[in-house]
This record gives sequence, C-alpha cells and structure tokens, in this order.
Amino acid sequence: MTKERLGRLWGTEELVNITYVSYLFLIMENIGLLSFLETPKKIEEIKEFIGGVSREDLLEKLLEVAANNGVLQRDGCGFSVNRNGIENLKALKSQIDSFEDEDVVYRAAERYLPKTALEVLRGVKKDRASPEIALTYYWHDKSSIFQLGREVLLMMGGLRKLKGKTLLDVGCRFGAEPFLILELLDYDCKLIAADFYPQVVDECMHKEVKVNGEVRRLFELENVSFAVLDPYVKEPFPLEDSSVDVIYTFQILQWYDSTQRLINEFSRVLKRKGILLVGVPLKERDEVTAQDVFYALAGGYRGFTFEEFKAMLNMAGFTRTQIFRSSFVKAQKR
Amino acid sequence: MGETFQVSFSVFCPECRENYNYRVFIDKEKYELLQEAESVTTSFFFDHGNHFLEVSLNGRGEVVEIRAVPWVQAPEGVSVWRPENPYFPVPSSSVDALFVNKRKRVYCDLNWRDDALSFLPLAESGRTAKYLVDGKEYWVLVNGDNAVIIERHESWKDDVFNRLVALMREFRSGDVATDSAFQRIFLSALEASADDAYVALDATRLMSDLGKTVAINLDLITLSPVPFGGELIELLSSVEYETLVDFLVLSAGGMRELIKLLKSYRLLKNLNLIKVIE
Repeated sequence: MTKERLGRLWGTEELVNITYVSYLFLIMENIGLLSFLETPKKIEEIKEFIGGVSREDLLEKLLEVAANNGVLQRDGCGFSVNRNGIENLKALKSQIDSFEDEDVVYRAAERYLPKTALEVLRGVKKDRASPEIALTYYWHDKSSIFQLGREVLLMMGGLRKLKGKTLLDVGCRFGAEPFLILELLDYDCKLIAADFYPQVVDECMHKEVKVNGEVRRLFELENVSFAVLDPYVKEPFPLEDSSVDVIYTFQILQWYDSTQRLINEFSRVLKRKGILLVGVPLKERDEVTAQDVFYALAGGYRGFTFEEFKAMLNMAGFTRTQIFRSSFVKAQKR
Repeated sequence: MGETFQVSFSVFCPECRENYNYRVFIDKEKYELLQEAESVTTSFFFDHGNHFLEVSLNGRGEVVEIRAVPWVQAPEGVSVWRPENPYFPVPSSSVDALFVNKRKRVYCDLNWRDDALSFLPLAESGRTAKYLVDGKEYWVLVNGDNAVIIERHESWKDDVFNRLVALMREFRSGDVATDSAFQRIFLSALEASADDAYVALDATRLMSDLGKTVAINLDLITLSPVPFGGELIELLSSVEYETLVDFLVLSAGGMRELIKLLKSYRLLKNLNLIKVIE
C-alpha cells in the first residue's frame, strides 16, 4: 500500500471537493447549462431551459454549490457562468497527482451522468442499479483509488487480525471488493458478500479469482457465501443475530436515506464487541457540498457530518468510534 | 437473476469403495423446479477415472440415487437416421459435435467427421454419459429427445462436462439438429472451453433466454469508456432495439463474435444494458 499516495489523495476535504466540483462542472457542461448561462439567468429561466424540473430543491443546491465553488457566479438575482473560475478549477484539478485510472472514471461520469442528472432533476428515481450508474461504478470499482480506499478501511480493522473471522461485506458490488478482502486476508476468513441488487450479487458470484494457481469463481469458494439485502430494511438481513465478527461497507451508505436503519441492522447481526468498518463521505459542517449534490444527482442520498454519523452509531449501540480523514470510520458494538 | 444455490453432500462410490465430498451449484430456476415435485431430481456426474459416478439429488438437496457407471465401448447398432441442416448457417468449429434428435431420427453432422452413423447409437440410451470409443473419450449430453455427441478435447478440464450438461438442460424445446441458435451457442461454448473453462456456464444465460425478447440500450453500451469490443457493438447494432435473443445469436458473423457475446451477455444483463422484456 502506498501511504504517501493516501496522504496526498485523501488528506484534505479540499481535494475531494475539487473532484466533485469537477463532476458537477461536467454535468452542467454536458447538459448545455453553462452555455445557456453565458448571460445571467434567473432560476425560473434555468428551470425552463432544463424543462420538466420537479426537483427544484436539488437544482437550487446545484446552482448554489457551483457558485460557491467558482463554476458559476451570482449575478443580481440570477446566475451566470464564471469562465475564470472554471479555468482555475481545471488548473487545480490538473495539479492533483491523481491515479491514472481516475481518468476512466472521469470519462465515465462525463458520458453517463449528465443524462441521469437531467432525469433525476425531472423527478425520475434512480439508484445504484440504474444502467448509467451501474456502468459508471462497474469501471469505478476497478480503479486503484477505490482499491486503495478499501485497503485503508481494512487496515483500520487491523487487517491481519481479521483473519479467521466472519466478515459481512455490505455493498460487494461486482466482485472487486470481496476479491481484495480475500487476497489481503490470504483467503483466511468466512466472507459473506452482500449487496442490495440481485443482479449485482450475481455478477459478484462470477468474479474470477486465482486460488493456488487455479482460476475459480467466487461462488465456488467454500468460505464465501452471498446475500441480497434490503437497503431500506423493510425486511431484516437474512442473517442471525450476533452472527458476524466484522461488517465492512465501503462508499455505500451515502446512497440511501435509510442510514440509521442500516446501522441498526448492522448492530443486530454483529457479535458483541464486533467491528464495524465504514467508508463514507463525512464533513465538518452541516452544509451542502459538491459531493452531496453529486450523489443526489446520481440518484443517491448525501454525505454526513461527523457529529450526525457518530450519533447514528451511538444510537445503534456502537462505541469507541474512530474516524480517519473524512472517509473512514471504525466502531465497536457494545 | 441467475441466483445459485450450493448443495454439499457426501457419497459413497460403490466402485471405488470410498467416500467423496462434493459441492455443486444449482441455479434458482432449477432449484424452484426441484422444490415443486418430490419426483423431480437433478443429476451430477463425477469423473472417477475408469468409471464415473452419477449422483441424483432431490429438491431438499438429498442424494436419492448413486450409480457408478463404467465407461463403455460404444454399442453396435444401425438405425434409420436422416441428416439435416440447421435453417441458418452455423460457423465451423474445431471441436467435433454431432447434434441429434432421437424422436425425429435426424442429425446434423456439419461439425462432425464422415462417420456420424457409427456414433448415433450413443444417443439411443437417452442418458447423459461419457463413452470410450477406440480409446477416445466422447460425451453424450441428453435433454429429452435431443442429444449432442462431442469428442472431448484434450485441453478441457473435467468441470467442463457438468457445465455442458447444464447448458444442454437450458434448451427448452425444439430440435437441436436444425436449431441454428442452439448450435451456434453450443459450438462457440465448446470452441472457447479450451481457454476458459467457464464459458459453458456463461453460455447457459444466453441459452435460457432463447425465445425471449430483449431491449438493448445501445447508447450506453457504445459510450462505455472501456468498450465491450467493436465486434460486439457491431453485432448489437445490427439488430433492432428490441429483438429476439435468437436473432441476436443468428446475427453474429462468426465464432469470435459469438464467443464475445457468450462472455458478455451476463454482464450486459446485470448492468441492465440488456433487459428481457417478454
């Protein structure tokens, strides 16, 4: 693991913010909004330009965040494009010593997300399984930035100390995550790979891994099982009370407005003193960020403040909460 | 979705006189079918060297029958068989495969040698089995009246047999001797099995969707930053936005395109880029 890269990439909220402002810029550019705002426009005119907007609240947040981050500027009672601000943003982004394969994700976002954002603004419900989002995250799943984040989260859990334990991976996606967990733990754990969509779990089951030099698919491994979970917990997870040692969930909770229910359910299935490892966007202040708007435009929910997230953990019976940077959380069930 | 159920069991092989532990996988649809009727069973085959073990399981995952079946010399026999061709062209394969419909007494030997009549009796028993003929291994895969006889390729792993059995079972109805879509899927799975032992497993998804109509989200597939491949996109572009899966299979220009389709079809469906609509 390259800790130096970690420090550079995850070290400040500013870098995360630049990344997500860049995504919002891409969305606005690709739906023609920035060209439309060459001259100042009021929000009613912007609504009319986009057409069929039913999520006015979200549109307002988009414009506000874009203005706060220099992509737009407030002009009287309207907004106009801020070309200087955009140039600054591009310059800042180019200075980020990012991972090469992040470009793939950036291109995926450029291609798939503008249409999704338009649909969400018009009131269409989207989720992680919608084709555009699933496709974006199919590629994102393989990016080294995601892999690095996953490694960091496992390190917080003690990495090798997790050997021999029963791990529930909530949000296994298409298999890269279970694969990494198994590799890092030398396949010495009982892993339950779970996600909220059967087709995602299906794809995960067919992920190919090399065990003792032989190519196998995950579903063939004795120590790996699979589960489809209800993200809104109308149905409990298909797991017994106090049945797992560790719950691992990376960049998933910000997609659902059922976070407290999910955390409560994590608590139910964890053994006493079991460990919860969460990768989730956290922020200092209770204000709308570019990351919040991005997730909302992609059909998700939002990030959380440190205090808000700690309170949810506390309410579900977790203690000894540790937060690393603004993305990694470790807590223990009482 | 292709949810899979695992079943583990221990069996005693009467031939080896030893206990074996096995774990097999049953897809959801088959699992539900097994649940419906006590009498319905599913069989798995395990290579034990000079014989193979046939294990039949019921819907509760219990072993209901075990048979050690010796690999046999091909039975002698001549019957009135009629050669047939598939309605649409099938690509040439480097694997020898003979497609047979026992009830109609027809066979297709376009991808077989000139001795098809000598091998047709292997399909008569109506049982999926492995045979040794003149020292060469042949696999007979049976589903109802249909059978496919294959000469085992030396590079195929043993797992390929059970995956081909599963692939054969996915064929719902029709006559494999004349069904071009079936032959195309089967031949491309055989062709690719030397390099990828899981291709036959992937092919079951396409086989089980034959006869269904799918909607293809070509815009998104084309936009993919890491393309599924020019050939596949060309194939998907050549059919209507809504098309029968059979037409998709029949539109593939050659073996490479077919193999690409087999390998990508599950992912395309799981990403909702291809959806079954009826």
